[in-house]
Amino acid sequence: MHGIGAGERSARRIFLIDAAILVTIVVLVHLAFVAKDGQPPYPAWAVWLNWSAAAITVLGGVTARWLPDAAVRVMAGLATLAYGLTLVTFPIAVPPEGIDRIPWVLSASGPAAAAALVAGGRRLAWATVIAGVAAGLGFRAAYGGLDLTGVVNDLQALLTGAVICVLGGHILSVARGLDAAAATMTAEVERDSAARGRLAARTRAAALVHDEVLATLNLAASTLPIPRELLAEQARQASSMVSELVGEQSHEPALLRMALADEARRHGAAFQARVDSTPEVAAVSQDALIGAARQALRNSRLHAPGSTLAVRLQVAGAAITVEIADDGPGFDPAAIGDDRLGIRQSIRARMERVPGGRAEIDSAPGRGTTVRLSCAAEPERELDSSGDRDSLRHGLTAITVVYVLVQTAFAVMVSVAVPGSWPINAALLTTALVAAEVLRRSPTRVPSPRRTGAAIALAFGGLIAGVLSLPFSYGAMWFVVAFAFVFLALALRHRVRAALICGAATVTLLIGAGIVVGAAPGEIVQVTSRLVVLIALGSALFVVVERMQRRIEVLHRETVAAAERQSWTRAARSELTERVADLGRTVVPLLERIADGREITVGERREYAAWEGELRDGLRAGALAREPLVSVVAAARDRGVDVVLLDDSTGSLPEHLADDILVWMAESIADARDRAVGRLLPPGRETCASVTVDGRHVEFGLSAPDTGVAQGAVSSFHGE
Amino acid sequence: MSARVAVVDDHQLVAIAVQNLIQAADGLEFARYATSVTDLVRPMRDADLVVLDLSLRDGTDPGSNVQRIRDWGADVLVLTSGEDPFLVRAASRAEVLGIMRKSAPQEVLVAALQAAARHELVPTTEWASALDTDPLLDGAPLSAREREVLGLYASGLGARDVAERLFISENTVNDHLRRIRSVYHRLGRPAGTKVELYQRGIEDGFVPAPRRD
Repeated sequence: MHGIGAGERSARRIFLIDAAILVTIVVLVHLAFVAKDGQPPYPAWAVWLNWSAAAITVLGGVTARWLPDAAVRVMAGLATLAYGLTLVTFPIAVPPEGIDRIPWVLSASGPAAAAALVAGGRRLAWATVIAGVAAGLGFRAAYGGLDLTGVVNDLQALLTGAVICVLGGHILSVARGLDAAAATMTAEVERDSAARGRLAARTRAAALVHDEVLATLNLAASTLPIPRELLAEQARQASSMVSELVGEQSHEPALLRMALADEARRHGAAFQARVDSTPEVAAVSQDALIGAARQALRNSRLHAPGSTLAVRLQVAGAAITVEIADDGPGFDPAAIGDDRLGIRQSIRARMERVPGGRAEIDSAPGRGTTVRLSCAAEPERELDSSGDRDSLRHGLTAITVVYVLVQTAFAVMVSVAVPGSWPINAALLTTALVAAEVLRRSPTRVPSPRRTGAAIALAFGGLIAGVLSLPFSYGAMWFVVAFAFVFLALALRHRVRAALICGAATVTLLIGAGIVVGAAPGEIVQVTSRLVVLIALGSALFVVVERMQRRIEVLHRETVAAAERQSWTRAARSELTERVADLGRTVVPLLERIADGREITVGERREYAAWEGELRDGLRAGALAREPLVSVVAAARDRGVDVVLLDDSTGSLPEHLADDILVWMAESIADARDRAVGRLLPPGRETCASVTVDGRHVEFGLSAPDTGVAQGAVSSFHGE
Repeated sequence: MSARVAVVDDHQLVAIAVQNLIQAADGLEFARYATSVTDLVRPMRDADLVVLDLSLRDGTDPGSNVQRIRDWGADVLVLTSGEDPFLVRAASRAEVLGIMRKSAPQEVLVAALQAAARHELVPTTEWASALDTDPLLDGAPLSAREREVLGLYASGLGARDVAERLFISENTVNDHLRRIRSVYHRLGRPAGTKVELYQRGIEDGFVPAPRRD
């Protein structure tokens, strides 16, 4: 048997305890009857079987907290089995001289239903309840007792059992969902923290490398007397650090884009990426994409030498597409035999092995070849622990229908049995149905105080009228259970306290009425016991549902938090990757030159200064690190101008203004002699950019793009 | 008497370069070189000013490094190679006289060292820009004039230029800068959850660079 989660385990234990409590109540009521009326001479084995059914259930309930999962189920299974055996063997247990009526406990399937829920789930529970009511009615017909009290008893037992099956089944499914969600969460959190750890380490490494490279270039550009061997050594160290980090990153599975760019470069293909999200790609999908792309590139190089090759990566939402296109001679894909391992094995088969993976080959003689690889990113995992809502709804509908039918049947039966009572029975039936409807129609899950009050008033009005006008007997007082269901509904809808108070008041009312009319104690117990059971059951189930609901909410919050962290991680990772890859391409040759230890010329010094500035811009210049500004700034640095570019706009700069600003800033910096600071201002300032060249300060336009200011409008003024 | 200047940097070459600068400058005297703050503060205080590298390789954070040097009894001038605004802010929240870029022209560096040796503030473009964009400063009790000064400073102007533009004296500009600095210190650690999260992300090492495009 596979292991179960904590939620399901606790739900099962609670049901087994419920079964024990219910069976105890049943036994006590039964004993009260036996004490009053005596008992037909059932054979010893039958008595023993009955008692052991009760004993097993009680034992299971008492020890449930400490029993292992399997033992809980075995106990529950035994209890269910014992009840089933009692039903099946009843005909043989009937004494030869016959009995007046079958014992009412025969159809008291509630405890067994709860046990069956634990042992075999909802179906077994329903089977138990139906078996109980069928056996009750059938045996009544065969052996006696098919009268008002008997039928009322069996049908109320059916209703109680139905409540246990529907709500208990729902709780079990919620518990299972909760466990699954908790497991997913744990995995999520683990993965998340692993990714965080890796990223943090990587970020620190990148920062170090950056620092190292900047320091080296800065020193190489400086005119200060620095021992040349030391500088060469420093350059070697920086160079090897960059190479190591770039190399390490190529093994990072999440870097599909990098890997594809790398493949493209190796095969002399242009690379283009259009990525609108950074989805989590399963390592296996990623490997397949890269491997298939590599094979496609090789094929193109082999069969279309000299053609122009291009690799395009497109990520739209969760869909990832990689296109490898050449403008070579092309071929007829239909004419390719199965023996062409390149396409079949390495491209198609590879892609088809991954979830949502596909490879299409689009080619025709003279039209070039395009290989299109696609796969889906890992679906986002969602937390669903709401359980099987549909089955709950259907179950509750079924209960409602059975409730209405059963109570109507009772009203009719009692009207027949007690002559002249039909008006009061009709009134009671109407009152019970209206009270139930008042609660059912509540727009909120917790009925409003007014609605609750109305339902309670109706129920008590009915109870008092019924007690005053109908004889004090279990059968005639069918309405007690009818109203008890109204209180049960209250308990299930957050009004536990109201339900308990109503239950207590009703019990008091009934006992008082019983004493006044001089009813036998057994009769009073019988009339009140099912009411007590229903309300206790409702309250207990409510508590369980509440607790689970709270856990679900907590889990939901945690999932959201985890998702946030994850997206943060992804964003940071792609930033970093690009930056380090840039470093590998651009500065390593420079560092190697410094590492030679030759005399640094003035031109080289300036070149290093320019590179140092550009690297700094990579950190801080943001949207300003674009042409035409970049080359103007490089030229200025080459002249020895200290240029600082700062993007403080946090991405707020309207795209249409960006080009104008770059041109405008480039014009100013082109004339700089000593020092230039170009800055995109934070959002919400009067202007959106400024440039300060040799102490002369100029600001650009108005920040609001919708003020109708013509493009390129410049309000400039001088600082001096 | 000339001020004794110590250098904390994990690149020996940087220390050598700064040592050259110090020895050539009036009023400054090279005291010592250490690769970490721990090494620096182990002996009795033998420097009046410490030139501190913003990002040391030993993983220590700028804020606590500055604090330890202040406790040791010396002033701090921070040197940075890249203007990572997050680290600059972290250092600025501690008590530094200024934050200088290593690649600044030599005469600017020397002037900054001399000012710091006189216990004067060294407000720089990088420092002002990092503060000017700090979301924490949004709710800070700064006057409109102070924000204006900070904004202009962040755009690359010096105290004299700012004074001329705003028709105030250079002394007033410096007063404003001093007050901005002390308000920034007092901000301390943030309390708002959103900001806190942001902060934590930064401290965990996820330093997001400004996005391109």
